[in-house]
Amino acid sequence: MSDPAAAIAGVFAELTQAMSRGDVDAYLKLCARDAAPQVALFEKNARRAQEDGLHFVLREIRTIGDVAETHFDVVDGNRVLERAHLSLTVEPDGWKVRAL
Amino acid sequence: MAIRGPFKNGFGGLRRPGGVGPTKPTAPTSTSTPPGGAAGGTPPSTGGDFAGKAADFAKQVVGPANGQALFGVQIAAMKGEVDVTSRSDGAPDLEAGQGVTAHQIAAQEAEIEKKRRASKGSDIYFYSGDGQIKEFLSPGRTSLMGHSLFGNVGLSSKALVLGGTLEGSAAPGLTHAGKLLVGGLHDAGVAQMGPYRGDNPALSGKEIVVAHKKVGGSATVAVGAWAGVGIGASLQPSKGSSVLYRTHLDKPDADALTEDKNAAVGFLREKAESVGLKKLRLDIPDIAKPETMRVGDELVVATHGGVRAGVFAFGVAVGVGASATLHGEFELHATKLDDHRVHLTVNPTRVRAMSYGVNSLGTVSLDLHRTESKSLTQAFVFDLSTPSGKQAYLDALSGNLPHQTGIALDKDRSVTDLETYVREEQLPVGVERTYLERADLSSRDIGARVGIPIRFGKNVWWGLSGLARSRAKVDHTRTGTDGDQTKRVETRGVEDRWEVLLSGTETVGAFASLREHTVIDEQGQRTTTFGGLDLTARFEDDRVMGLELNDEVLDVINGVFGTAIAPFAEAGHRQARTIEVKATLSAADLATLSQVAGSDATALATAKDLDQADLAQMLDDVRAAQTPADQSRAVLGYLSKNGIARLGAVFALAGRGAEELTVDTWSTSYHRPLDDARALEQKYPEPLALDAGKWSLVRRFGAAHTLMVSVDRAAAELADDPILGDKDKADVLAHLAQAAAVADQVASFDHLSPDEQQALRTMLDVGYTTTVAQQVIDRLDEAAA
Repeated sequence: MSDPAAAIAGVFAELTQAMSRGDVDAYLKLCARDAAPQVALFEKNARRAQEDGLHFVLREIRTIGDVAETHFDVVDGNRVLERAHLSLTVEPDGWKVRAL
Repeated sequence: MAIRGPFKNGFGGLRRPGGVGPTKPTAPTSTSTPPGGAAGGTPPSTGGDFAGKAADFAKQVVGPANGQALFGVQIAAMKGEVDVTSRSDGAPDLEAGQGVTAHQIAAQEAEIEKKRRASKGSDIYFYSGDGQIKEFLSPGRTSLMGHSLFGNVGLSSKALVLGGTLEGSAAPGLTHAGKLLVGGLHDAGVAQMGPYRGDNPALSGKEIVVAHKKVGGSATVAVGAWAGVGIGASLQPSKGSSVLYRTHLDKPDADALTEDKNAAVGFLREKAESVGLKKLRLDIPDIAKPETMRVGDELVVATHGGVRAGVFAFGVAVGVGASATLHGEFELHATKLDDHRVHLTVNPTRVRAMSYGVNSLGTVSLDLHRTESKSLTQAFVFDLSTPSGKQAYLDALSGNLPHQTGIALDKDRSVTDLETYVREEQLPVGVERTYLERADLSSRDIGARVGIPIRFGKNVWWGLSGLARSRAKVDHTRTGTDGDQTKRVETRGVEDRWEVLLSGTETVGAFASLREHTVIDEQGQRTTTFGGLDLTARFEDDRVMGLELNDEVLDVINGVFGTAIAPFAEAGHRQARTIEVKATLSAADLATLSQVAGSDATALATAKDLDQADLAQMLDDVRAAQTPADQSRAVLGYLSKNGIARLGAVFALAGRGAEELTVDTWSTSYHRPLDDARALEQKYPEPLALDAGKWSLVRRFGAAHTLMVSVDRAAAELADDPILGDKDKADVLAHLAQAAAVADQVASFDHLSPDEQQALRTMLDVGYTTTVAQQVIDRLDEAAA
């Protein structure tokens, strides 16, 4: 049985990189197929990340069965503005983003 | 969760290459060498690896045998990599998944390393799976008297492990090493379990609260020597105790006990209680002072201890080993019936196991386990208002029962002997026996395993159990008597298990149970009646993927039993699923079986690809048997191999139709939402308030959203479920509706004024906006419009 932590952390890293670039195509590849892509929300957060110079630091992964939450700090320079999280689920092709 | 990958417990272990000892025997490893070098065709090397390999291989070949309660703590440490794995197969000591696993550490380190390279920062995060928080600390290394000394410390949320490896060289080319690991476990906590639903009016309306406390320890001593080939031995003693207390409180008292307004404070308090730094919030009564228990309270006190000893030898490519295990447990279960009376069960259990193993190149292994366990449960009601009853109760706590002459765990007694002892025993005033039960279990388990090495990060290797196959044969007899009547159940079965990378664990079991009921009249005359022969086929899959249940389970059931269960139409989400097929054969059914014509049996054997001789022999035995019970025993013996197909043959030849089968299923998809809802209800008993802050509110909305996702998914899977009937589906739907109502209630902002709702909107729409926050923003906009 594969351990989920690294896979989830990998998806998180790819997602935050896509967000920093505003790369919608990269984001869509990370989404669960049966979940409606949240393109508008992704673009909203990507825009704020780029305009305000925000970056995201993974702090914790919590899994309950096939659902995971990644908890991360929203950081402006060296200042932690807030903590946020996003949800992932196990899909046939691995851990995927279900909700930003 | 016990990690059984070849690199976890096999040669090399889950270690970084490069541990440096003063007398490296051969073949220095590089960062690109597979673990231990064994998989690459070179001997295991490096100082630290050697003793670790010896201890780990010893653990592998002496590992807990099939389903028996054993406790082991392992540490595998090299340069910041610590692995604490606690396991207790079948025992209540530890929960599955507890402790830091090497997989998690490896994954964490790989990710941390990647993040460091990317950000040039120093970030670290914790991983928590299924509610367990896991942490780890780093070990150190030094020299001692010309030897290498590796010191290790591991810490999980509930266990602390200290260890050391001392390695040196007695002569050129000869390395000797010793390893000592000592592990301690402390776990305690309080949980609210929901409203009392029993029929005791005194407890109606109360909330059930459970407190537990566990203390345990184990050690591993391993010694070995290596000079081309290696030999070694290990000894693993363990000891521990646990207390479980279940009481009933008024809801406000229960809420006050289990809730924390501040989640962070609550988390820290739970952790402090868990490791014993803080006194438990709920006082657990002393079982020796039953007057301190409330009516309805239950207290389970258990102590256990055991020792495992093993020897092993290994060369470049192959290792062999054998071990013996002796484990004992003594459990007391007290229930306060009223102000003066306590029901007490005393249950000693003894387990003996032998294990043998062969391991090749750290990737292929064969294991054989043989286990026998015996337990003897004796139950009494003690009237504590009488001096003799009170004294007898106190004596019973130390195992001195009111009457135990001739009845002991180690003495094999016939059913009639047990009945006679119970009928003739002279109990003190104030003591009344409720029952005596003896249980004997034996199992044989043989398995093979093939592993896959995966490189993970710069220096970290991850051993995966790629494919494992095992078969267990179980023989279980339970006999319970109160002197006036006796119930006896004989069960035999065979269970096949497959573990496949990414597909989880799948089992197929076929079991048959003979039930007998004996009534003893006042003159001691016994009248035994046949209760039935229960046939059970059980399919379990802990990770259902897509539509795999259709061909792996439903097609098998339809083919074997002649049912016409429709396939699943929609690919299910990952879940654990159990499907059971049950039938009970009566005496008339067995009579039908005894009259089956040989040609019919041959035709069936041919059609179902069964061994004709075995089937004919079973039918001959059934015909020769004089009673339904003996006929049933002939069937029990027949199920020892190819269980499912043979079960179907017996069912068909007994003249039973597919419509008489009971087919049932259980899925985590259906049950988890309500469990999650109860937890959510306890976590958020009050309506939301703005002063909680954005993070807290987003988490609250998110928890409700997650619950709704699981409810919706379960409802969709339920609609597609071809096994559950309408009534069962209605029951599950009712539970899902309850869960959905909780989610709605937790996420509701209807009680806020328009100004407060606007303030909530503003708070949510800054910084990073989560999906759930956006949904709440949209809902707030709709409400404002």
